[in-house]
Amino acid sequence: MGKPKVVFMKKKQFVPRLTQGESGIVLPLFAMLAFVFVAMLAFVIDHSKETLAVETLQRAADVAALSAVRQLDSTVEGWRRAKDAAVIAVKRNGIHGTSAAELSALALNDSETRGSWNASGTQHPSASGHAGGLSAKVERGTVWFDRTLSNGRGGYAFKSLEGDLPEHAADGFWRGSVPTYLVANAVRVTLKLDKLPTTFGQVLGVLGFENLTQSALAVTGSEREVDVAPLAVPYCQLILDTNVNMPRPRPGSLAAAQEDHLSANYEPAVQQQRELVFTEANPKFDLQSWSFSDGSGNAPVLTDAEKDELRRRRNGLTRFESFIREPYVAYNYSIDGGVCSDSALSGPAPSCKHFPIYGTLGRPSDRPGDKTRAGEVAGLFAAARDGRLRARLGDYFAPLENLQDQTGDVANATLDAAQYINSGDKTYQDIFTIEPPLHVGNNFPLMRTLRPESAGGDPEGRPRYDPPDPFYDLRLSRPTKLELGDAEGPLGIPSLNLMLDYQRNPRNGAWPEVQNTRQPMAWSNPLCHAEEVGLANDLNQRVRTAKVMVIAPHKENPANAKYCDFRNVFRGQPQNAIPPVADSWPVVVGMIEVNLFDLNFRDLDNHPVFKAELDHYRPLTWVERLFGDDRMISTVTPHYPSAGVFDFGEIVDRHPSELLALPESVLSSIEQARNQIGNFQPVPSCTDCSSESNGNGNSGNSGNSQSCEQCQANAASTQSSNNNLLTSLAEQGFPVSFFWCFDLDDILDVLRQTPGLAECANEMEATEVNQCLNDKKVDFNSLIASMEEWFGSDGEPGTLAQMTAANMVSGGLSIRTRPHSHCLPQPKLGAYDLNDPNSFEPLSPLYAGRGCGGMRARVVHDTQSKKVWSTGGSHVDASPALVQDNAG
Amino acid sequence: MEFALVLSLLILILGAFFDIGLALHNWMLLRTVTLDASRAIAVNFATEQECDRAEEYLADYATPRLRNAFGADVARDEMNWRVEWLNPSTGVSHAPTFPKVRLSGHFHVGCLFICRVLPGGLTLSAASETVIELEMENGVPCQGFAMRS
Repeated sequence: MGKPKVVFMKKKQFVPRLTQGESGIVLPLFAMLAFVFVAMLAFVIDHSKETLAVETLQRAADVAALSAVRQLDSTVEGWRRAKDAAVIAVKRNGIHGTSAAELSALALNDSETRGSWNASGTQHPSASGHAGGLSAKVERGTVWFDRTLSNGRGGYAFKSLEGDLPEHAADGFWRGSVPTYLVANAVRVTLKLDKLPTTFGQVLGVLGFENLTQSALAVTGSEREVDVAPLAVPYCQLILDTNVNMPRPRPGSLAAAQEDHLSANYEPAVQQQRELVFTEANPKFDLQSWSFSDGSGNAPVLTDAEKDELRRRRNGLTRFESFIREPYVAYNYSIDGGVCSDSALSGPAPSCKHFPIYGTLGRPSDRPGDKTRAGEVAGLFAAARDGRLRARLGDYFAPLENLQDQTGDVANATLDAAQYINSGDKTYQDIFTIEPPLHVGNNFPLMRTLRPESAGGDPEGRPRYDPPDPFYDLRLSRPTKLELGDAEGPLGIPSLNLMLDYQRNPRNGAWPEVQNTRQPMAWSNPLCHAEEVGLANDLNQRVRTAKVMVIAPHKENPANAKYCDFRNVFRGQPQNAIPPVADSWPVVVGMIEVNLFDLNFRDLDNHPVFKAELDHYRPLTWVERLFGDDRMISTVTPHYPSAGVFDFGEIVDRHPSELLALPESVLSSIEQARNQIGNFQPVPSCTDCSSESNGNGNSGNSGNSQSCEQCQANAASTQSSNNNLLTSLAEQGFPVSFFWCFDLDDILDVLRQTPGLAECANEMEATEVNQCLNDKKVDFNSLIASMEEWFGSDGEPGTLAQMTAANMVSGGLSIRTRPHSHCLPQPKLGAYDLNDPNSFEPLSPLYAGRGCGGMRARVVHDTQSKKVWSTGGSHVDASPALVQDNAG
Repeated sequence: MEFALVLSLLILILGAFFDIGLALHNWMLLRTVTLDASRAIAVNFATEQECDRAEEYLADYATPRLRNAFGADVARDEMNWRVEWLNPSTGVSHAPTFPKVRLSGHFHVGCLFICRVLPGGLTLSAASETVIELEMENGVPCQGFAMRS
């Protein structure tokens, strides 16, 4: 009764319940949780595996695309390198889920036909390859800024360029016929992993992940805005490779597809040799009534209205002379037959590589059909100079069509254009010469002389210019004597005159016909100035390196236009093309880097800005101008390159006390120069030897026992020593033009006062003066005396006079004079006092003569690294970047 | 007592599985977000040249995406991004010679089980890098930003 069984029982029941309960709950719970957690872990691991594969695919695609786009350089070879680089990058980067064997086996199926280019459009396709479960595809294409995207806010669009011609491939952007390798600026790499097996999922029947695909789009950097000049060149002008090595049938028999830039012999690098001429688009100036086809070679007959038009143009930015630079006139003799490879010429066949590239002025725009107003020109150059003019691929281009109504802006436009170029940090010497000191490179600018012809005249009755003598040879400092068949043209290229301007047909003497009268015809050069080309062969003239836009008609342009029609040109047929007028909706499709140079601008000292500066400096002494607080060199030189060239020697001689205030470094260099200047020695005259050589019978030197031979040897040695000193001075920092900066009139005045040399003053050319002095075996001392008298020496022989005299009698460094030298302030007659500002004529900066040089350029000559057409930059300096892949 | 210990041990084992899985998942998420962010920043640099956008992107997109992830330790308000230039010659990428920007993200992952017995939470970090264009002519874009960390 009431026995402790209950307790026992409770104990007995408790223990088994406890033990039974744990064994019945925890183990199943643990098993269940373990299954769930392990399953979750398995899922996470498998999912991570997929994530890892996707991530490595993406990374590999990124690196591959960037590596590939880095190789693009607008050549076929660049595209081939790009494909190779993409594959290498994928292999190096590795992809999770692929074996090393699969990666190493990855290769692209290269279906292109190397060494050729086919207009049918299938020989340079995108490439793809497959290895194991991994496949890769490499595509080239174009990325541009499409303003129609994102509700007008714009965005970057990509178009894959399959095939060889962009007429269909690039139709999202512009129309034209150009090899796609040239315009491709982007590479898209797509990597696909067919199958990635799961590790744990297979237990649940999930065997793996399929078709993991990632892609990356990289662009050459051309999607960004870059600083540009307000200038553009139609794309087709650039791609005209008229290399003579290109087989070209006779006119009329050329197959339609065999345009040169589509042939296997196309050489893009040849474009580097061509000169660019910038004009206005000027479509309203219809020349259809200006017939050049009368065959007589006479001047065109113009109506009074046309004469008025010409007169207005001559007074404005545009100039009559440039209308003959007519890119849209059909040749009545073909490039093949008449211009580039006339078989009638002797010697090596000339090349068309100097066929000019015609560009136009304008600015980027955000809307199609926009025009640049003439009044904007000055502001555009100022903006470009300050880095405020920027463009990117896909921008519209607003051409400057006509300046005829804006003649009031001539001064400002010209001034700003001049300042734009002359604030460049390079000189002719830096850019266009090879092998110092002054050997002319083959890309040296050509100047066109307009030597009056004895008969005939322009519509206003002025003398007409003689076609056979169209160039001023900067190398020889004289007009060329170029005629068809000459072995020596300005660049040693016969018939160059036919390439730069429209000349009479050498076969029949006829002028080229203006055949395509339906289209606007004339381009004129708004930066072309006056009647004759000056002798401004100053190699220190500034050059501005800048990018100019390459334009093409927008695909949907209402004019349905294209800018060039070389197919017909090669056939000898009229072109069906128009200039890049606003109606053609030009769009920026690329950039090229050029060296802009200024052949001549009008005397800008009439401009208020320049005049104010000059008025400020004129009262100052030379030393003040050079070294004063607001020194002229730093403020004026950017505008007047040669204004920085002063006569240091004279300053040293005449202003020793003022120089003491100069910095030590300046004094040191001046002193060094002065010491060398003092080493100049008079050249013995050996006058009797001269008489002897003239056959007067006397022998020897009358003044002493020195033989003629010894005297002449001494003279030669001294002269050589002087020359070496001059060269040494030049190399040590004295500008070469220092020795050129004496106005010929000054020199002639000195000669007139020098006994026995007066008749040399009758010569008109510097070289003739020099020859005269040489012939007369100038007496050095008497020449110095004359110069001292003229220049006002203060007792001892002036260094200026000494140097000038040495220079004059030097055969090697002949007198370099310039009719309008602005190197030195011109002293007024009889009032040459450095400390008296009234002794000087006003400086005449940038008065480099007059002429029709205008603004020209050369494509930057770059043999080391090729240019990327879409950026204008160097292949090496291209800045690849990933961009959003809309398609991806 | 033995049972309790066994139970705790089992729970910890299971919890460790869970926490490891969670950490693995979040680490992969961090890698993915960092890669996406570095690509987005690269694209932004390339197309817009607006350097502040990178910081905005990290703050407005990448960071919230991670914080909203399950297991994120939102109590620890530290979310670090680091953008640094890599010298082309010392970069770890397989890209040939490009200057690079490496974007590193540091991310605290909360834990449900292991942290009960461990002194602190688990901090995960991952780094992702991509190539950002180098403006050869005008200097490095966004250099000020890139040098900040």
